[in-house]
Amino acid sequence: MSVEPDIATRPSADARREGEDGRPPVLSVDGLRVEFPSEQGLVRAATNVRFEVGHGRTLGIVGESGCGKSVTLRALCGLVPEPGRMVAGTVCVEGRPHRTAKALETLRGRKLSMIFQDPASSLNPVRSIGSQVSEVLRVSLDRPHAAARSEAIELLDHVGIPHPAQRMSAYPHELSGGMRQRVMIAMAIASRPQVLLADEPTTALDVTTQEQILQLLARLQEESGMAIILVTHDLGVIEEVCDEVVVMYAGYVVERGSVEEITRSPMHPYTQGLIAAMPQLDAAHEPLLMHGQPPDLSTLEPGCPFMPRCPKARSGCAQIDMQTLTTTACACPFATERLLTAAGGASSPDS
Amino acid sequence: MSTALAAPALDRAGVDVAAKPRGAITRSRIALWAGVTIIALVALSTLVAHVASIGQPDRIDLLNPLAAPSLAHPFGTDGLGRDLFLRTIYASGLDLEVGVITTALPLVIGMMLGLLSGFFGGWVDAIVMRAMDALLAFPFIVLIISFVTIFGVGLTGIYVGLTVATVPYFARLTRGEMLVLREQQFMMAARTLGYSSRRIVFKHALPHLIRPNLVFVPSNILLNILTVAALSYLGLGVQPPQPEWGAIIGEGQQYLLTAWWVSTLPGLFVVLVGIGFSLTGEGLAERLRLRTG
Repeated sequence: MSVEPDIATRPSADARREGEDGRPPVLSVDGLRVEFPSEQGLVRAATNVRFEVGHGRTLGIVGESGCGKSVTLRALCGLVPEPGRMVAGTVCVEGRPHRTAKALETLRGRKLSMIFQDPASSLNPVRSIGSQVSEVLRVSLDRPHAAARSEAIELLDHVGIPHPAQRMSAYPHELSGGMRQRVMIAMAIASRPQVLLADEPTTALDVTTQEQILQLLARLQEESGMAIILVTHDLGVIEEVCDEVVVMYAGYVVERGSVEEITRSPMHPYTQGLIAAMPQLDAAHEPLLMHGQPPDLSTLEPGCPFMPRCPKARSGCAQIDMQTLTTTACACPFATERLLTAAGGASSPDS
Repeated sequence: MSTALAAPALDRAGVDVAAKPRGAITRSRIALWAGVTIIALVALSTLVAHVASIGQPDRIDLLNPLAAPSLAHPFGTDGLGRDLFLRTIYASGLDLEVGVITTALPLVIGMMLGLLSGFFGGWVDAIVMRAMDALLAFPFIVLIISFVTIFGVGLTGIYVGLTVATVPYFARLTRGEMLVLREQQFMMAARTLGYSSRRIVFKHALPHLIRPNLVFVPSNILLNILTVAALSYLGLGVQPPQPEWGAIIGEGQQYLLTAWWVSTLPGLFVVLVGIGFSLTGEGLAERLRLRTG
């Protein structure tokens, strides 16, 4: 693993907040905290989450299952599943702050829309594709019936559905997974949202379809300039479509940076573990499995939550303050130190 | 994948039929049509009789009491010499009407209550469902008799009683389905599109709830018809001389040993109607189940 000394400070993480074109981020989250009461105690599904995404940019949220990625995404549109609650945090969309789930509700279907992992269950099985797509246009954009219908056909055509006029009367079960996801995308972009939230949009699809859907999203983004927040556990997808990445673990953002920074020179031991666990086509790299599982969020000890699984854990790890560290580029205070020694040639962190 | 779909394979009926077991289809279709035919014939005969005033069901012929079934009187005559076949046919109108109305009203009311209860949960659910539980705590017939007591013997009490007593069944059924439905992803997807709760409940959830309720409708009509007959048999329902199945059978009770046909033939007629509704319900359930796959 090649390591450059200057990335230790990673200035880009803050510099990019303004966006490349100098405009403020279209969406920024600060201090987001989501909690679920449970019999075992309070489950902190997301703690002090902060990130931002600029116009026309794609932010990836990556992590294992149960690390708070999806919950974070749902919180953005005020839809934390029961009995969970967004207890703190500010979501700014186009500079306008929203502090409660109720306030975020007004953004749905207008500024924000969402696509889901399983397109088979995200469409209403008893209603035709056409009625579902034109409904979005009627509700969000107040289109009259006939106009909504013709516009729906255009939309379906736009997302690459062949014979869109005939498809209007088809039911979801008559379409393939990829086609259903295209319909979902058509519905999500119908209201021309500023931000598209994508919750593992390609996980349930086969690899070739996955590729097509990612290309479609990239094309739509280019045309409309919407921002995309993509939740996935597939680093390959992240590498392909994202500009920036945040890595989540146990409800904390443990590392953030540009996609190059995260994939080429990860600093946090968890990110390094994720990347090492990725299968590579060349035989030189055997995927290295990370041992253990993400911790039980109801019995989280203070200190670094990754410590029990961390190959580089040391005595200081139990004392670190995650609350402040999660807003920095890397939540591991020892990463910088290690990188500097590595650059000095004393020892390699991976040896 | 996309190329295969691009082919004009839009033959929806063809796809569906191929996926279903053929034997079950035929059987459910026969059951459904046999049931519907029986009900239609009974409904049509009573309609024609009422509209064209065929015969006089209340005409007393004291010279010809307890006549055995013959061509002139297919079901024979009762103790007052009234034609039993005519009375049974005339009675179908009333019985079907009560059965249908006391099912249709609770269907609508119960679905609304179950829909709201299941969708909103919380205190709405608590209040509605405790009320339904309270109604279900009474034995069905006792609850209706209490309404008959309030409104006095006759049809009003039966209509109100049966409606109130039937609502909880549809409410519970709908609520249960709604609880399952609420967790479905497309309900979540509808919310992310910014749809109002009202739109989600009525446009997205309701179409899913009609089917399970519909399956329950024919058997419930039958149940309510039999309840009306039972109440009239007990003398709490329809009053003489108005013809009603239960009343006719009840009156024939005293002649069971001397003139068996007075109770038996109208009774068999009720059984036939019952079979009609059962077949309809069964056929409907089977067909809807097959369609959902």
